[in-house]
Amino acid sequence: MTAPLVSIEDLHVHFHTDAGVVKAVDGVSWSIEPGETLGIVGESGSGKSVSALALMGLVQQPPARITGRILFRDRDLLTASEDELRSLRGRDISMIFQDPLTALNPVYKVGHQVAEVIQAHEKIGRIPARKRAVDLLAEVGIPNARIRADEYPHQFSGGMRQRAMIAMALALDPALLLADEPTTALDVTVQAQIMNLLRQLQDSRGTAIVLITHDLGVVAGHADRVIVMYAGHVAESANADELYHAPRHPYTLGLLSSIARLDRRRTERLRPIPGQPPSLIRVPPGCPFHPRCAFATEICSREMPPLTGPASHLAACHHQDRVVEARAEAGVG
Amino acid sequence: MVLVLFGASIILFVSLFVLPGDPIGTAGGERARDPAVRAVLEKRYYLDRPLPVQYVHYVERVFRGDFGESYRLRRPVSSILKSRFWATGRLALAAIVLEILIGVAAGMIAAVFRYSFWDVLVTLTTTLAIGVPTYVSGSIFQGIFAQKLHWLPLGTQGGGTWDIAHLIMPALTLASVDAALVARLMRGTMLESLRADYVRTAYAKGLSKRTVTLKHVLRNSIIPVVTYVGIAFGGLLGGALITETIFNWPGIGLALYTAISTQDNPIIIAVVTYGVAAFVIVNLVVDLTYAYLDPRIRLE
Amino acid sequence: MTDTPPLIDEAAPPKDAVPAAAFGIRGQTQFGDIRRRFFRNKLAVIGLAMVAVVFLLAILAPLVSPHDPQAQDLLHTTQGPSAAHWFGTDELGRDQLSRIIYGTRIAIVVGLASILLALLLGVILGSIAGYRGGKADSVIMRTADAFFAFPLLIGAILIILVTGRGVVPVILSIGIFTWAVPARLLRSSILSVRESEYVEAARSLGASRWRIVTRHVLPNSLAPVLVYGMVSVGTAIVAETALSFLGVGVKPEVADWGNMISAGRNFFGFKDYLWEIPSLAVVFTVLGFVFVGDGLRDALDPRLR
Repeated sequence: MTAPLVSIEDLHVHFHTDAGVVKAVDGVSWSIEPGETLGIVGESGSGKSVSALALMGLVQQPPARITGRILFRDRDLLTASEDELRSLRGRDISMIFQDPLTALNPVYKVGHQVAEVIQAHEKIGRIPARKRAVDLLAEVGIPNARIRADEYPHQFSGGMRQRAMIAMALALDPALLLADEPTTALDVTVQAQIMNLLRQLQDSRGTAIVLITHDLGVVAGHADRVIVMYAGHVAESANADELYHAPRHPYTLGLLSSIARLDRRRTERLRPIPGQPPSLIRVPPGCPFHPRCAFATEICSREMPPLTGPASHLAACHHQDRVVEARAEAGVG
Repeated sequence: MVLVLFGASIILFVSLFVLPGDPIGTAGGERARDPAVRAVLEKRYYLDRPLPVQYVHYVERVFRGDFGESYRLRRPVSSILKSRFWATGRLALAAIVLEILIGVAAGMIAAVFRYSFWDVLVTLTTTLAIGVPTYVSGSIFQGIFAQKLHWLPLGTQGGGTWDIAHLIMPALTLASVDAALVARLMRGTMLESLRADYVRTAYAKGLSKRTVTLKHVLRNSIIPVVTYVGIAFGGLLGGALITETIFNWPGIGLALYTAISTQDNPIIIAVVTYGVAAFVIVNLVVDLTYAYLDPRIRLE
Repeated sequence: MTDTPPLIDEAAPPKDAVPAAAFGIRGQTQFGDIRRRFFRNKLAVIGLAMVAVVFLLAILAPLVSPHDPQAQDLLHTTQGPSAAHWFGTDELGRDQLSRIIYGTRIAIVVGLASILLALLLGVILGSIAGYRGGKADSVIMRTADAFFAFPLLIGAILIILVTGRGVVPVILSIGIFTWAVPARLLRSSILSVRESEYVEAARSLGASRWRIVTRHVLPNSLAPVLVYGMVSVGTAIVAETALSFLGVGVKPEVADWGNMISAGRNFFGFKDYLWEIPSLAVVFTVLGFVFVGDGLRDALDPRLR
């Protein structure tokens, strides 16, 4: 078995603020293989974006305190120097963000910004860099790339901007692409186009993609494996099929049964999950989900359940068996 | 904008001619007692016609470069003022250069090293500088550098264009408040830009802190500052009334002050009109520059 | 390493909650927050104390001054600080300390009144321009531009020349040449607030136009104007003293810091206390207002700290 490309072990990212310690990521472990697509799903504040930022070394260390290990090709990034990290960013590990309008610098031309990442890592002149940038823009499906490269971000549509960002991120053929809510700010039709583009590019370059989103639908068609995060913890980790058809964590179950689905009989009413996610400063003791959980018992408020189960399907719950029973009723599986 | 100019000049004109006081008396001196002389003088200065007519005549003459004659000095206003423009211009230039250098640098340092000793120093100093009016800072500079230390001369300007010794104190005085405001503005815009998403993207591309700060952040932050500096420059060109008075600087500001004390209306009108015109023109230039700097505005 | 803000901002309400403002409830907790942030800011508190001192002196002037500020003593002119006259005497033998104390009255009265006038004019005209738009907007904004382009000092001087010196002319002239900025501020505030969602929500709930303006639009647009006002009191005081300094402010015999500095400069180099002390008074007062203004601004929008 090949070694995983990235392996995150017991990662904690705690922000020390005036109001208290925000435990954005509290004991998270996952890994991803080369060429694989890993989906990380969770609500806002679940810690999914922060884990990715921590991977890139983009979390500023005061006010944050980061412990654990982040292994990239067996190198622990948390012990790496800033110079090392800088040479990895954009070249071996890239990231694209949610809102391409604000993520691009409004005063520089798009082509220039794409060429910038190339020139940051390779000794290459302006003209050849620009040529490569134009080629990249064409590759991601921007028509008239040569002309558009001289335009500014506000002249692009939302979808095209995101394509440009993807071009920027994949310019140097990184081994890993972190996509933080890449489609959230886009129209639904454009969303599908972007996801397809990512899939295409991944097929041709063999990039591993971490797809971070709150949208279960986006992840469904595109991820090999999925991790569900809640309040800074991993709730469940499984391959996509199993997660959707045989979830073992009450939170996942809740998420799935709160989605309207056209392909199922309408036997059940939609059931939203009652309550709100906790403030990350005052996370409830024991399992963080227990105040909202239909299956919670006394132990759930005392002990944080460990991730248990076969390696291909882990869940952090004391009552997975009850979840399994409840599945059928919920119309899931 | 031209409307503004006209509007301002109308305000000026009307208010001046509502002024109490006797300009004829000033112009004619003793001989003005004689009604015949008065009549001649009135005719000469168009004061016997109704106000709107006077205004029209005035504008006519302005377009020919004729601002009338000073009541007091009996010479054409344009020749009196011509020699003074450069003095004020020099001062304005020196002050703006100082403002830009000090303000931008201080603001940048404060933002990049936020909460550090430098930031606190800059923030405190700028706050203090805002609270000190020019007539106070001017006096203090004179007191310390000229009086006590004898480093710099106290008297009127001598020397030529590059006479820094005479130029530095008034320029510093003039620049002090604005430099502080520029520094604060710069710090503010940089702090905002530093939190922007595109900064995160730039780091994610593997750019160094220095590149990100100088290339991405600065370029965005500088835009409002340029606008402000432009406007400030426009104001300075109009003559720094107080500073020129304190330092006896022979610019149009001092001319204005003297004209006010002696009710020499033509000079007052000319200087103020020029000041407003300069401001308006500089503003236009600033608008154009802004469009150049910010591509989002350009294409509208 | 870049600066990444923590993801949870506990001061922000959950995103999907309908803003309370839509129901006409001003967030009362907002005031508490603002007040808390203000008082935590040391400089702001110091500023408040400074302003309070000046206020008290102005109100209690007759009780606190050792002498009559107008009382001349031609036998004891330009005497340095002494037991009888803590701040010395001026060129007409008047007690400096008393004149400084009475000077607070002019400063406060002119500072506050002129800015109040400017704010009043600015708010009214700015809200008409912002809320009605169209022709009214253009006309008002053009006029504001004209006033804005006119340098404050010079404009004030012109008015004073017409009306003569005195406290009221000074107040009027400063107010008249300052209203343009708050008008513009308010107008842009209103323009952005007008289109915001909670105003739409209020409208859809059937709130009348008047109610929308007073309960929703104004409170939210006023904040930057108020901050501007507070900081501007300092500028107004500087302007007032500058006018007096140039000889076109309040009447020359009035106990006013600008007058005192101007007179004091005649003794530059040998009786420096004559201009130094009133200068200190000006700086002290102005700084007080600047600190408070800054503190207000930071309390209203702490992120920009």
